[in-house]
Amino acid sequence: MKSISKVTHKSYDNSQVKNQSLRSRAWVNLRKNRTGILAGITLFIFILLALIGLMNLSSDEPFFNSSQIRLPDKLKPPLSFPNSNILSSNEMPRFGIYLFGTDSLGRDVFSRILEGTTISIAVGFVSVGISTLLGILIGGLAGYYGETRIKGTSIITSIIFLFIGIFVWKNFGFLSFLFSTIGIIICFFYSKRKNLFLGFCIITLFGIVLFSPFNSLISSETANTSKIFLQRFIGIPLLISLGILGISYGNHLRDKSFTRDKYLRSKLFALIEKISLPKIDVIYTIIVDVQISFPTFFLILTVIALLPPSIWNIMIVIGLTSWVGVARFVRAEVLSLREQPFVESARAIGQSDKKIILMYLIPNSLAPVLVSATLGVAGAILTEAGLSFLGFGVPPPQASWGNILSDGKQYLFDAPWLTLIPGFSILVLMLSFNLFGEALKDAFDPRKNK
Amino acid sequence: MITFFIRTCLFKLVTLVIISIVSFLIIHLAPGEPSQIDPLNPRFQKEDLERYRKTFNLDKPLHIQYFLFYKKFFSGKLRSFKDNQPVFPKVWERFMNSLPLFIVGTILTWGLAFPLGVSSSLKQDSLIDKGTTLFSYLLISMPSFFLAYLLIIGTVYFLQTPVLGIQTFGQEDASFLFKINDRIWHLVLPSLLGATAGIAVLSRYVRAQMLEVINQDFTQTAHSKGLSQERVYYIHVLRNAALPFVTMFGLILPSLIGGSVIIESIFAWPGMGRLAFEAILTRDYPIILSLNFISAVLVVLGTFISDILLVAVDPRIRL
Repeated sequence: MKSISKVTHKSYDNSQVKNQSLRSRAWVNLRKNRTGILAGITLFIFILLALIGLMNLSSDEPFFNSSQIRLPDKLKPPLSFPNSNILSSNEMPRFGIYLFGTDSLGRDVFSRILEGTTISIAVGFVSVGISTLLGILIGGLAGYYGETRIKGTSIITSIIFLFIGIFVWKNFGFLSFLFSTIGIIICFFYSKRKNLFLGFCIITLFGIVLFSPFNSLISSETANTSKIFLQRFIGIPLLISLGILGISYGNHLRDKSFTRDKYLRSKLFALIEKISLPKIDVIYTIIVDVQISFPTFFLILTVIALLPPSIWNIMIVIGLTSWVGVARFVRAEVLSLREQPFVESARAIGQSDKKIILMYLIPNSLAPVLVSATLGVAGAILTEAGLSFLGFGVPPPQASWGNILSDGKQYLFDAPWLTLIPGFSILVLMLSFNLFGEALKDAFDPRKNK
Repeated sequence: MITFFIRTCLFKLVTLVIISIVSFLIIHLAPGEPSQIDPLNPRFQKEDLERYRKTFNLDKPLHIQYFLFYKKFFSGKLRSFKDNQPVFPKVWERFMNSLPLFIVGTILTWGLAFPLGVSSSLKQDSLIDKGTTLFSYLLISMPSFFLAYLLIIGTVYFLQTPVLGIQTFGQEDASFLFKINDRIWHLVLPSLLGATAGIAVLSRYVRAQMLEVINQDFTQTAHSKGLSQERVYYIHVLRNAALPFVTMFGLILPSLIGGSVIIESIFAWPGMGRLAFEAILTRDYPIILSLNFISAVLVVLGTFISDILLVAVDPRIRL
C-alpha cells in the first residue's frame, strides 16, 4: 500500500507543472517578466507615496505643508533654499529646502505633488471600483441570461415593484426608500423568492414608519445640489435593482403556475405572457451601443461642469462611463463558462441561479477583469488629470497633478518645473500602470502555458 | 441582405432615440439651470428670470421640453441660449475648422500605425520591435496636454515657427502662398498631437493581430508552398490581419468632438471641441445637446458603414 501511494504521489509531483491553478501559473509567468516586475515595484512606491500623502492630508498640522503661502519665495527653482531672513520659523519648508521648487504663490511644489499623488490614485481606484462592479453585474447578467426574454408577468411585477419604490421615495422621503430597498435586497439573498412581495410590503411599511419623521432633516431647506446628486446617484441603481428583483419574482410566479397549472390555463395569463421584451442579449447590445456612442470625455466634462465641484462627483462620473470594457470581458467569460461541466453539475444538484452566478461564474471570470481594471485605473487617472487641466477637476485649494500643471502653464518659459514635474509624474505613473497591466495580461494568457 | 439592412437600420434608430433621451435627461436632471448661471448679478431680476425661462421653454414639464427641443432641432430652428444665434450655422463653421485637423490626424494615425505594427510583428523580439513597443507605451502613457507643452517649448526654442491659433494674427492681407504655408505650419502640431494616442494604440493592435495570423496553419501552408516571404506576409497575412480594423474605423469618428477638447483649447483652435467647451462653460444647452447628438449620429453612421464594409470585404461573412 505504502509503495503505491508513494508512486501516485510522485506522479502527481511530475504532473504538477501542468496542473497548477491559473493563479499560481500566472504568478510564475509574471515573475519571469522583468519589465512587469519593475512596473509593479514603481506602482507599489506610488501607492506608498499616496498613503503618506493621505496621512499628511488628514492631520491638522501636516508634515509637508502644501497650502503655506510664501510670497517672497515665489517661483523658486527646484533644490533652492528659502529666504531665511524674511520667513518666520514655522513658515519654513520641511528640511529647509524646496525640493521641487515653489509655485507662483510660493507654495512648496513637493508637498503639492505629494497631495496630488493621493488624489490621483484615489480617483483611479474608486472610479475603477465603481465601473468594475457595474461591469461585472451587467456582463454577468447578460452572459448568463442572454437567450431568455423578459415576459409579461415579470414585466408587470417589475413595474409594481418600481412603482412602490418611486412612490415611497416621493412621498415618504429618501431615507425610508433607502431602508426598504436595501432591506429587500438583503432579504433576497437570504430567503426564498416565495415571500418576496409580502416581505417587500412589510419592510416598506417599517421604513415609512421609522424614517419618514427624519425626512425633513435632509429635504428642501438643508438640501444642496450635491446632496440631491448623491441621492440620485444612490437611488437610481437601487431602483434598477428593485426592477431586477421584480423580474425575478415574476419568473418565480410563472414557475409556480407551471406546476399548479391553474393560472396558466387562464386567458388573462396567456394574454399577458404574449407580451415580451426582446432577448436580454439585444437589450445588452443596445445599452452598450448607447454607452459607446457618447463622446465619453465630452459627456464627463458636461456632467462635471453642471455638478458642484467635488472630488467624489468626478470619481462617480468617471466610474459610471467606463464599465463597457469590463462588461464585455465578463460576458465573454460567462458565455464560455456557462457550458462547462462544473456549472452543469451545479445546476444538476439544484443550485439556484443567483448562487451559480455569484459563486461559480463570476469568481472564475475575474482574471481578465483584473487586467482591464489595472488599465482602467490608468485611464481614470488620465481623465482626472485632463479635467483638472481644463479647470473642472479637483476644486482649487486642493492640489492635483492636473491643476498644478494648469496653474504652471502661464509660467511655461520662466518656471518650466511647474509643468515638467507634474507632467513626468503622470507619465511615470501611467507607464507603470500600463506596463503592469500588460504583464498581467501576458501572465494570464492561456496560450503562454502550452 | 435586405432584411439585415433594415434590421440594422432599426437597431441604430432605437439607439439614437435612447441616446437623445438619455443625454436630455442627464443635462436636465443634473442640479442647476442655465438661468442660475450668474445668481449674484444684480441686474438679473426675478422677472427677467421668468422671462428667460419662458422664452426657452424651461418652465414646462420635461417630456414636453424634450419634444419641443427635438422639433426645433429637426426643423433647424434651434437657437443658442447665449447669443440667440441659430445653432447649425455655428456648428457648421466650427466643423469646417475641425475637419482639416481630423483628416490630417487620421491619415497620420493610420499611415504610421500600420507600418510600425507590421514591421515590429515581422521581426518579433528584435531591437525594432522592442523600440516600437517602448515608444508606443510612452505615447499611450503621455497625457496629451503635457506632450503639447513639451512640443510647444521645443518648436518655439528650436524652429521659431508659429504654434497657436489657426493662422497668424494680422496676416490677412498676405500673399496666397504665405497664407497656405502659414495654415500648414499651424496645422502640424495639433494634428500630430491628435494622432499620437491613436498611433500608439493602433500599432499595438496591428502587431497583435499580425502575430495572431502568422501563427495560423494557412500561413505555414503558404510558406511550405514555396511562396516568397513578401507574398506570404503582405498578401496572405496582412489582408487577414487587417479585417478587424474595418470595424475600428467607425469608432474613430467621435474623436472629432470628444478627443479634441483639450488639444483645441491649448492651441486656441476654433473647432468643434472648443465650441463644446465654451458651451459647457456657459451652460448653453442647445449647443451641448446638438453636439452630443451629432457626434452620436456620426458614431452610429460609422459603425453602420463599417458593418457593411466588413460584409463587403470578408467573403466568409454571408447573410
